[in-house]
Amino acid sequence: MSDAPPIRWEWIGDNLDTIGGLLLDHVVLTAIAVGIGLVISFGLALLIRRYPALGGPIIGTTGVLYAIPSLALLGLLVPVTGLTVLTAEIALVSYTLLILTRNITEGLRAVPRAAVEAATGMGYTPLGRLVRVELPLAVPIIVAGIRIATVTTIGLVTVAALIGVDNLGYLIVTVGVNRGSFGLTQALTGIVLAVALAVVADVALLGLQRALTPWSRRGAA
Amino acid sequence: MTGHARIRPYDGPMQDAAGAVVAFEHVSKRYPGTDAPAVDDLSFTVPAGEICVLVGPSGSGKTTTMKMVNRLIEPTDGRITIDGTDVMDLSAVELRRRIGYVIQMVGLFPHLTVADNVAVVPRLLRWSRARTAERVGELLELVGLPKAYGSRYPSELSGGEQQRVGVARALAADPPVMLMDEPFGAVDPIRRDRLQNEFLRLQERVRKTIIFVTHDVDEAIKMADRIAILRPGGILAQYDTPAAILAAPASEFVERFVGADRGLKRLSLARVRDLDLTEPIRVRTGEDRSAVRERLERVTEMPYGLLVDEAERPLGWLDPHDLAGEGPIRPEDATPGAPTVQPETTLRDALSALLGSSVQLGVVVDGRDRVLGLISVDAIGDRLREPVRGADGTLHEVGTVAATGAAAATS
Repeated sequence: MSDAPPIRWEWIGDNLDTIGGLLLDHVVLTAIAVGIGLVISFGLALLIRRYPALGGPIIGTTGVLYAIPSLALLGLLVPVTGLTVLTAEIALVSYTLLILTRNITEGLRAVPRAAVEAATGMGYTPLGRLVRVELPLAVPIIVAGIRIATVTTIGLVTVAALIGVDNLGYLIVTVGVNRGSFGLTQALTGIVLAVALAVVADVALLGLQRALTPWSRRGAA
Repeated sequence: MTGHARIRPYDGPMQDAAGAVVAFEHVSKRYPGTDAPAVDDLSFTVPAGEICVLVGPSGSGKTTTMKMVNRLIEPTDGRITIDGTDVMDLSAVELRRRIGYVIQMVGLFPHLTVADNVAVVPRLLRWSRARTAERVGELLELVGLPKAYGSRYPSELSGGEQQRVGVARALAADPPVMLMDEPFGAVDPIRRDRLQNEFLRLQERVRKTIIFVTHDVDEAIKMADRIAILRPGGILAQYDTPAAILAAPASEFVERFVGADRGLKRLSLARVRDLDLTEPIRVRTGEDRSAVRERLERVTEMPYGLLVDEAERPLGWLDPHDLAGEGPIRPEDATPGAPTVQPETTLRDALSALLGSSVQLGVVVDGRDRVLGLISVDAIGDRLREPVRGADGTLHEVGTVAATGAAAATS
């Protein structure tokens, strides 16, 4: 057993289709979670912008959600929504809310007051001002939040494998089942791919932010 | 030029609509939860194409007053009309697109290029692409920025350049009325002076009705056709031309607010061309000394001759004592150093030049240095004592509030 090679490359070659499928599942689960999280957080941030007094309670609540251990949250949800993708997504979305809501709120708050006043005085409608002036200027802070949320979610998705939702986590949580044969290879494959996915997503989002904010990299002042 | 103007017609380059009349009628503003009004029963009319400067100490409601014109703040009582139309009759958004707006912090949009910043209101008004682009080019030229600046971001511009883009942006859709909230407050004094001069030259071309807020009396005097001085509580203390306010302040508040040096401030409003020039005794080189001596002896008051060359340019003063002996007069006989001023020189600068010279006479010369006439310290003093015609056509005797009996009905 000790002479067994730690990595069985041939296992990877034999299971490329499965690994590819799990990687795709992982990407989809993450994208859905961050996407839905973004929509909800955006609504919450607009609510806070309109009624600043709600800021404390809303951020506080998302903070509590964020603090619940993932296994515990899944355990609470399974009796209600079962061993389903829905259960996994509810948990994943709830973990994105704190970061996204906070960053969108901060991003909008950091828009220069003079720009907002000028926009109003020049005759933008409130919606026009939000879309054309405030959101573009909030992009750097909002995308920073999306990057953290995405990287966090990619890590968290693996836990969903415990309730039978397929993703790269499957390769990791089943390590014990195949111990001694290709277990280690399988687990390492899952871990390496999950980390690589996180890095790629992070870099891609950074690229997106740069593309959206050409103005932030020019000029001295 | 294919125009698709939906709101106002725009016929071509710089055929700008002249300004509109802006009238305040018993306008008051009370903020909820406060006893004292921020603006109290304000009534005054700004004629089309004039710069009205709202000035006063903090708490005098000058910014509130200005912001009620484009409804960033809405009046509690009274009404504001632009060419007879109540501003409350339009939607706030539509109204604001027709009023230029320049703020102290400039408020350029950092994520848009200079050209896109200037194009904001034309795009809100759905002008065609070609017309918008053409207008942007015109405006950059108008405010003295190279066309190439259009593709830069605001952060790549100096403070003064940003302010000019702010003015271009406010003028973009050719609004008849512009609101300017301490527009030059954030730049250093030297650059401020230049921006003010540039803006006054610009205004000569565009003739907008401008409501301009500042807390700086000197800026008000320089920029205004009319000044509305507000006092704490948003009460109109005086509304008149700068000259009339300086000559005859309506109350002690105004007198104190414009400052103890208001006589000197008045001097900076008037120019040498406003004075009646006196004709000097012109003497040319080569004239006979004794003949000139005789001419000068016939004059009792200021028996000086002004030696000029063949192009009528001044060479210096001739005192009868310089002309002893016989023979022709030579250039060396004159005492050089007569202060020269031009018709455009302010009386303040002219006085300063005169006080520094021995004769206390100034030689007024034209652009080619030819003598036009003389001014004296006395003439400047006389000018300061003349009554000043106010905006309503009445003549105000010059003096302190106590001396003139605070005749003003405005306070």
